[in-house]
Amino acid sequence: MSTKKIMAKTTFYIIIVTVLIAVLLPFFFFVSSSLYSSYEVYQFPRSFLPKMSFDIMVTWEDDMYQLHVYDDEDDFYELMIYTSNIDDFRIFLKRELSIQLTNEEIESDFSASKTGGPVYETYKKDLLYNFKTFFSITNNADKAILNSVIAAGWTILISLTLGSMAGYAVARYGFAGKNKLNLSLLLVRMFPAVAIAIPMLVYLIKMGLNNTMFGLAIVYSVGNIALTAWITSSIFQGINVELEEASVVFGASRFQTFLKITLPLAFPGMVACSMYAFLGAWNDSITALILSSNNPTLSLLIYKALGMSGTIQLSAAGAVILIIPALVFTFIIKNYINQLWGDVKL
Amino acid sequence: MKRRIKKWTPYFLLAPALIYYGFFWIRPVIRAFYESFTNLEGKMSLINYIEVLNEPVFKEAFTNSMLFAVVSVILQFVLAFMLALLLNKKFKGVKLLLFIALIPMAVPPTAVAILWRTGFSTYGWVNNLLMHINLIEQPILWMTADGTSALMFLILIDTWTVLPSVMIILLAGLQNMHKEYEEAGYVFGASKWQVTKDIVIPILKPTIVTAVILRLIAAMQIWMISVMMFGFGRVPFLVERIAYYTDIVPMLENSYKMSLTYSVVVTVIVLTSVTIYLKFSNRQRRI
Amino acid sequence: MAFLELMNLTKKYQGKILAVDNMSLGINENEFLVLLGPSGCGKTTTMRMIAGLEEVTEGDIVLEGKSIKGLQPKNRGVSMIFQSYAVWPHMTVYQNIAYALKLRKMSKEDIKKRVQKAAEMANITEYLERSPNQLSGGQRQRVAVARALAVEPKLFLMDEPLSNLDAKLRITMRTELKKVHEELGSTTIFVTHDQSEAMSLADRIVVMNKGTIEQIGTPNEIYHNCESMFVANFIGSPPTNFIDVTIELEDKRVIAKHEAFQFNITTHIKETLKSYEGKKVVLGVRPENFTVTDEEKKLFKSKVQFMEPQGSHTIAVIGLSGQQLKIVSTKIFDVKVGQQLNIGINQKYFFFDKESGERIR
Ligand SMILES: Nc1ncnc2c1ncn2[C@@H]1O[C@H](COP(=O)(O)OP(=O)(O)OP(=O)(O)O)[C@@H](O)[C@H]1O
Ligand SMILES: [Mg+2]
Repeated sequence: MSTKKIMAKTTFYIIIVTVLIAVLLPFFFFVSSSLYSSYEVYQFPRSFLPKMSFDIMVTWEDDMYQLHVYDDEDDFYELMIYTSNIDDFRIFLKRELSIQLTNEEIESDFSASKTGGPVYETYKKDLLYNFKTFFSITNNADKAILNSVIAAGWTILISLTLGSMAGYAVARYGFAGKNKLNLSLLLVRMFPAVAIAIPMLVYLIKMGLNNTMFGLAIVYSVGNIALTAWITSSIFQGINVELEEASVVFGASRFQTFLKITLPLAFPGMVACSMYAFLGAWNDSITALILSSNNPTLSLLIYKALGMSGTIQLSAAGAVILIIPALVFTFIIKNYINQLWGDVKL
Repeated sequence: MKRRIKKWTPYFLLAPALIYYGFFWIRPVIRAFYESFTNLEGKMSLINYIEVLNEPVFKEAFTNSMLFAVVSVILQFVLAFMLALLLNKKFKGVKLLLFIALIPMAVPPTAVAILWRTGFSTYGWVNNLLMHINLIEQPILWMTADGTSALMFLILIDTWTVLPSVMIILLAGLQNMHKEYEEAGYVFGASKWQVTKDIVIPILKPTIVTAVILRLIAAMQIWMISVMMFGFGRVPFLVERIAYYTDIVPMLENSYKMSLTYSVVVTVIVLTSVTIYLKFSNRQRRI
Repeated sequence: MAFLELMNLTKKYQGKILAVDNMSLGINENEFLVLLGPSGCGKTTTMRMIAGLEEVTEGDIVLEGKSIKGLQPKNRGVSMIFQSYAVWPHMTVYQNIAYALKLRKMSKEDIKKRVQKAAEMANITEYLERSPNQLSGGQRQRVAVARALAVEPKLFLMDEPLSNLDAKLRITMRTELKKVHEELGSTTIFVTHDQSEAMSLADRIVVMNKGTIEQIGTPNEIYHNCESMFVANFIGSPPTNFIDVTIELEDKRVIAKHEAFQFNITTHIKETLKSYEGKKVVLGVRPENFTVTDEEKKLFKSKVQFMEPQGSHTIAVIGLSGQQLKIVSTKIFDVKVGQQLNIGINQKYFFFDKESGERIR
């Protein structure tokens, strides 16, 4: 093998590894961040993987329990808290170590140290503690998730219906102003979404649609109809006209042909396309802030709750929930790249 | 009779979308324009624009937005194109690699910001990693960055998330391009680089223009990541000002007007940039 | 050693799909060689390996005594006409032809001269400033030819360059390609699965099947002297008729026996056939080697099942013990379906081994 070839091969693998690291590493650390307890977060440097359990030692001095936590970096038991109040221990264990115990359990475990010297215990960490906390401090998170899904559903429905009709017209018919249409659809995306949301508030209030998901979807659909029209026209162009013509020849009407021939062929691509509409709705928080602040979506809720404050591990937990649809999206969309973007031209 | 129906079909198909845009896009846009030119008493006036231009942060927000757009679009295009060339090859595991490379594009900006904030906070995983591999002794205070370095920081984070969306458009273009165009290049004496430069890129031009314009429009409208990473005002952007007036100080007498005026300003700037880019790319094509 | 030598060339795609199997072939200088074979037999793959667009799995390719296996396409001195023409859409016709010359760092004047010359040969001088999407399929094809001519290659590769043209244009372009070849005497490998194209263009034809060479020969050899059932079947339209017969020896005569007829073999292969005594062999008869005769000279009688008039000749489909035979005749035009014909056979028949499908000589 020539040196040139070896160089090429090496560059090839370096790029691949870079891509993998650039994407997967942040995700790995991010997800593991969402599983840390507070104590671990401020232990620095800490292990890459979150702990599953803690080793603790309890001693009895000065009529107080003294709680030590094992530090495996430095191999010793670090004194964390001493008090005679069992409640304080319970809260400490929960807040700092994500260990959920009742006062009785603590009392019965610790009490042996009064007579028999240090007591050693291994407590299991509640790995989902941050997620539970997230749901409890944002008391309407489940409602918000539902809201996000509904808003996204409406957005998909509106933009796919209107967008694919327009896309079909572009793909199959000639009409005046056709070559300007793509550019004008682009114009729609140039106006910041926020900027439409502000004046839209007045109209939505008039229609009684403020603080509703349908109202939100109306605004989300603005940018998405244009995108959907673009992409679906690319999809329809990829479907041979002759297939439709054959159906017309055999006696079907244009509309029947569309339903029976074109739509089934375009369907997978349209599903993939609808993912853009889904994400447009799911990812937004500012439009929701303006139009539906009393009835937030998940993204808005997280922005509000953790936007500029929030501890590392709690923010991470919230964001992990937000990211899950992203994985579904990429999984679906990777097979349809050509169909979606193949014929998109300005 | 039938002919006439056929002639009108495209308009029937387009009508719903156009009516929708009439109601929910043109109407609010006109309203925004109109209101940006009236003062608080409802009289025609340029007061809003004067106030926007006189805002101390306006200049910085403008420069940041432009700088961000130009640098990030160039950087993202180059990287996305390289990645698309790579993923256009056939090798084992290319589908999996594509899947992985696409993930960041779907992550909500809120989550992106949180992801990198948990990374770059003092006790975040970046410092943790650097200390584990003994690159640093003490945690670095990343989040205190400001000015140009903070801007660069945001460009990198933005690149991380939007690179795939640029890449898939280019990749689709590459895959739809007839393979024989490239092969003819090789047979007639071109090297890999010459084939890319003289054949692939020119043929791909319409796709490239599409990808760049979509990116340009979005890049001009950046704000969320900046706000969630650094808070309002540290690295101001034009759309960030809109968010500032609606989210942080919605109760000011002129907040509403200010945000509308800012949005008109942003639209005009985006429109101008896209037009310039289109002119530029058209001229290039003729050479 | 031949001008271009393919030595035990083998190509496996993804390590398992065998596209070209241990192919050896020599091509002489100035020769017009046609690769002919059914779809998927490895013609394109062979071409692409020669051009350097596909890696060789095993074997070697030697051009003028030097191995070109490891060379980049650009260093091989070959030029190619692609099936889709691959005329670059973003360049004018002139730029398309000149591109390769520019890469060779030729001077502006030289490039101009060469482009002009190539354009004249391909008859496209008036389109030089047009963009390819303002050209018809046939004109684009000519641009591809001119582009390939302009680099003055050692070797021309053409992969079904005419298959996208309509029937009439195809025949015109065929003649023009032949003319260009005669003018330049360039060594050419031409791929097609159209046998009449192959026959009219080739100095020699290589018939391929499933990645291997079935037969190499001049068009006449390939047609009149097939080496296998595959070639006999593939070449000729309608294809050769195959009839199972048993070889029997009676006294000193060698007889081919079928349930409906038998005849005495008088040609030189009768010696070889003796060893097949009592065995079944395949008799191959080209449609035109059946004759319609009178009662005495007939071999067998048969009913006409279909008639396919072709103008200059007629194809008749006749039945023989449940089998269909196609015969071609320039004499019978007014025969009706259902009519009985007296069929004879002239001496241009082949025998094939039933197992291997190879010609018995
Ligand atoms: N890139 C590839 N990957 C895998 N298999 C391939 C590839 N290209 C060709 N093949 C297979 O190799 C065999 C030979 O293909 P090739 O294209 O050489 O045939 P061909 O003789 O040119 O056929 P046609 O007349 O249809 O063009 C076929 O079975 C084909 O399926
Ligand atoms: Mg082929």
